Amino acid sequence: MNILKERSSMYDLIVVGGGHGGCEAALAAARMGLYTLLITINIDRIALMPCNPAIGGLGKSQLVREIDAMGGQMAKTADRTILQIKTLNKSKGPAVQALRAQIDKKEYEIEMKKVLEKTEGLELRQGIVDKILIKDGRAAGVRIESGPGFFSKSVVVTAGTFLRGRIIIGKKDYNAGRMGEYPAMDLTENLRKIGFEIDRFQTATPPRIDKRTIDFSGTIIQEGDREPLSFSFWDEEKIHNDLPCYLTYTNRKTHDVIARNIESSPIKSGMVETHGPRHCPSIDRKVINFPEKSRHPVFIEPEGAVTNEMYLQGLTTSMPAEIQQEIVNTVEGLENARIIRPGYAVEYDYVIPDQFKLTLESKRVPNLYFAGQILGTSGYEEAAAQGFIAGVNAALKIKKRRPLILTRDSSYIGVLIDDLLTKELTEPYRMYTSRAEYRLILRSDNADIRMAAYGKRIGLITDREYEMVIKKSERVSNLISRLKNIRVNPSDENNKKLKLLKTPGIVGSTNVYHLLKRPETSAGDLIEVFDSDNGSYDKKVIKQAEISIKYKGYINRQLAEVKKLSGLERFNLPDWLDYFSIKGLTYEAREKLSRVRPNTVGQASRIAGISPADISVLMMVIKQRALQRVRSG
Amino acid sequence: MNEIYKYEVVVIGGGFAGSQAAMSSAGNGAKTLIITINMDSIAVMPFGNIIGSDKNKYIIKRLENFNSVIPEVIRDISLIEIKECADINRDVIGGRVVDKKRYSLKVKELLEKTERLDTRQGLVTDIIKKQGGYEVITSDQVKYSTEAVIICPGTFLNSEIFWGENRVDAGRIGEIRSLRLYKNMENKGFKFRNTCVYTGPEVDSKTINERSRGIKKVEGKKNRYYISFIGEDYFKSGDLLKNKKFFLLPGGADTGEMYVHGFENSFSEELQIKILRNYGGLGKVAITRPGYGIRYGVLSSPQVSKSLECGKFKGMFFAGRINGTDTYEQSLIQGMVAGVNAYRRIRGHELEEI
Repeated sequence: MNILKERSSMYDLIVVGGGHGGCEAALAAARMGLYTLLITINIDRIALMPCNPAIGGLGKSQLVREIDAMGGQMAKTADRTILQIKTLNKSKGPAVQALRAQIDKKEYEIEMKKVLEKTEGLELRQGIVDKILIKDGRAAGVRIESGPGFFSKSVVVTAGTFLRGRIIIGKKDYNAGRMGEYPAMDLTENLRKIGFEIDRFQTATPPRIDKRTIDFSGTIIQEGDREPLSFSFWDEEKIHNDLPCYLTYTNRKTHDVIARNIESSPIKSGMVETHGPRHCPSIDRKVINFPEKSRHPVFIEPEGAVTNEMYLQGLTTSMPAEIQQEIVNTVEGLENARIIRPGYAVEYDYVIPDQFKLTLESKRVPNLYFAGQILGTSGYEEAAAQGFIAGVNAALKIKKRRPLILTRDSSYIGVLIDDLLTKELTEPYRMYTSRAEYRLILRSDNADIRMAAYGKRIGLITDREYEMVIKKSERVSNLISRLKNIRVNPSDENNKKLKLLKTPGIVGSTNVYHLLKRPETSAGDLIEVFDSDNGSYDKKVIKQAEISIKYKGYINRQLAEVKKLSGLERFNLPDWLDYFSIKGLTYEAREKLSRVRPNTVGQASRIAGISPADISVLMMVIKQRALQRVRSG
Repeated sequence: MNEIYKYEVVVIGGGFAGSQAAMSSAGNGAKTLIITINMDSIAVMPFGNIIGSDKNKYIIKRLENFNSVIPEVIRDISLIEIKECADINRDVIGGRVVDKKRYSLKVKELLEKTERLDTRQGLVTDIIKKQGGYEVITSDQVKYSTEAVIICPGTFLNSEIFWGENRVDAGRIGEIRSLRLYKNMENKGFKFRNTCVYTGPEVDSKTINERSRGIKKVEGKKNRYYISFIGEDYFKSGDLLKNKKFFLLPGGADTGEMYVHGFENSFSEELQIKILRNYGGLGKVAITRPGYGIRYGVLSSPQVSKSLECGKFKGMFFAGRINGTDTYEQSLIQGMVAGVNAYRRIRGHELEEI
């Protein structure tokens, strides 16, 4: 049973941090055969969710499903700890549909730790890292505060909010990475010495209240879907236990309390000077910015199956605790609610992400990777996606294989990383569907078909799993041609059937494919009515076929656009290019390009401050150089 | 003052003493609040997850007589029972090995479900005597008024953890300590002394070679533990560790971490691993958490009577490590007595004695 592998004292990879980024990085690398060590300040806090008890949502669901399709873990662990799951935006188009699951936080931690421990070649270690060891200019390990050095060929840093973390409630503050947990104070200084540019961000969390003190009659119940669902493509779909959430609203009284006490809000008092996420504003900020709004929604979400703690989404605040209590009690249904954990803000150091390559490897220090909140993002899913990319690329580099670089037209992960490297962050970065220009192609429902080939190449999904996806894709094409071949004649009987499906009758002969282009029809219904062989199709295959047919025009337009724009992506910009010597570039462009060092002209075109004129200059330079090479060759 | 902050009994600390005190106080009928620095750290077991040895069985029995649900919880989520056996250095080991994480979650659940009992995350910074009771102040500046207060800070008062040359201001590894409460109590005339306690390392069970001659596997129904004996060729660290054996206890049903019982220490990590690797079956063992020492403040001399009430302040009780005791069982029974007596004090009944 107990097979002890002969191991050298040298790890292939050390992951610093046991949050959502760290877990994916360590699992991906170890599963790819790297001897991996994950070091975390407290082993009892692995994969902790310090904010909302949910995974997925718009834009985020795509990220989770993409890493899942390539062999990541988050979706699988979510599936085992779901309290409620639903498809968002069911009435809207497929591009903006997403899965969102309420998760039992503690069970998620236990489950993720179990997975880590059972992974061959992955070790866990408790400790605070205070130094990245560098040898010959490359990452060579880490030192932990208690002295020992751990040596490795590469390092992934996923420190979350722990670098010089400072917690603020009202006018009080103290050093902590999360409430009750001490931060990592020394690693920042070390990173600065190495030469990293560091800035500070802030984020905040709402209070948690006691379920026993809520009057649910004043709220609107929010149930999950009653159909079989799974977050992971590889898990069996099932109907999950449905622990409801509840919806209520703030009101004038709430806003009055906030307005009256606004001077003690850290955002007004100057206790917090750094930027927080605008996408997730505190209730104080919402009241200041939208004085005309008479109410804001508050979702009451369970933190677990057995705990009485309930999360108040929409009521984020770091006002003094007594005022938080007053604010909560103005809300309908929460008149007698009692706070168990007050909300708070946390301010932390992040490393400016344009110092990294598309593989998330540092440009300055080879074999050193960063991922997650420390790169200025927000959200468990964003962290997991980056952790996965960093872990996979660390492994590919050690194995001397081609890196995994995802482009904007391939995935939300590609969008996330490209944005991080080219856009200037003014607030923690969060994924939305609006950030992806090709969102009709990059859907949550087709992430397996889009990403499985990558998963197979890096070796994180098996041949059998890959075959499953290929078969599914084939079945979709087969079904589409089949629907083209099912003729529907304008008989009375057929028109009666169409009437039952609430769609107009036909005058000439047509096929099911064309009927499906009508917005009011559904593939499931049409197949049931007109296809004699209606039992043989999987509902996922039917759904894919339906989306391809209904949105064919839009999808083709996006595909054409991808083809056109990928022109610029094809032109590589060499690492050694001296932008300052290129005449014709604006000074700003020279500075920005030298700093970001984009991989392609396409990436350069997205950097803030780079004009179309600058891009023409770059294209000219590249063509000249190619020409020179031809001549000299 | 807002009614919401008014209680009859406030318990400070969510460890063994505090959680039992809160359940007893509320269970008897007092409107009770328990405040802890981190709601995720209720009833944590840093010193090994074994409870209820023969020596302490009478305490568990007494808890049952007092209607405590804890003995039942211990039985329900115990992983394996270790029969009493002698250990040369630590006289005896025996009792039930409990699932640490499940124990913590279960006690939290019980606290949350107890009627008249509220839970709250917060760091208490001061306790001020007021007319008819006390005011308890937290770092987020909330003031709770209460008739009685039970103080159970465990290892968190003015504490520091250490191993090898390393020192961190912390109540436990990864967790912030309680400094201001300590200073404010000192200013009120309480005298403290420092004491130390040591935790054992935890190791990865995947790295234990159970086929070695120097290790004995003891199988229970679902779980197993190991007894590892010192290798014969090992003597360099002196007689201190000679002939000693370690017990490797499973941390829980969902984890592969094992606690090394009998190796509570604050050596440097290098030394800890060196010593462990001389033990049977541990030649290639990997530490997941090193053992460490905690130096923390306790009352310098007994400042409580047998009812656990403070001599100087009526309605102020101390329970657990702050009274200089050392085991989970002792903390539990003190929590029980303090909880019952806090209730009896505010209702004007005569106090029970321990």
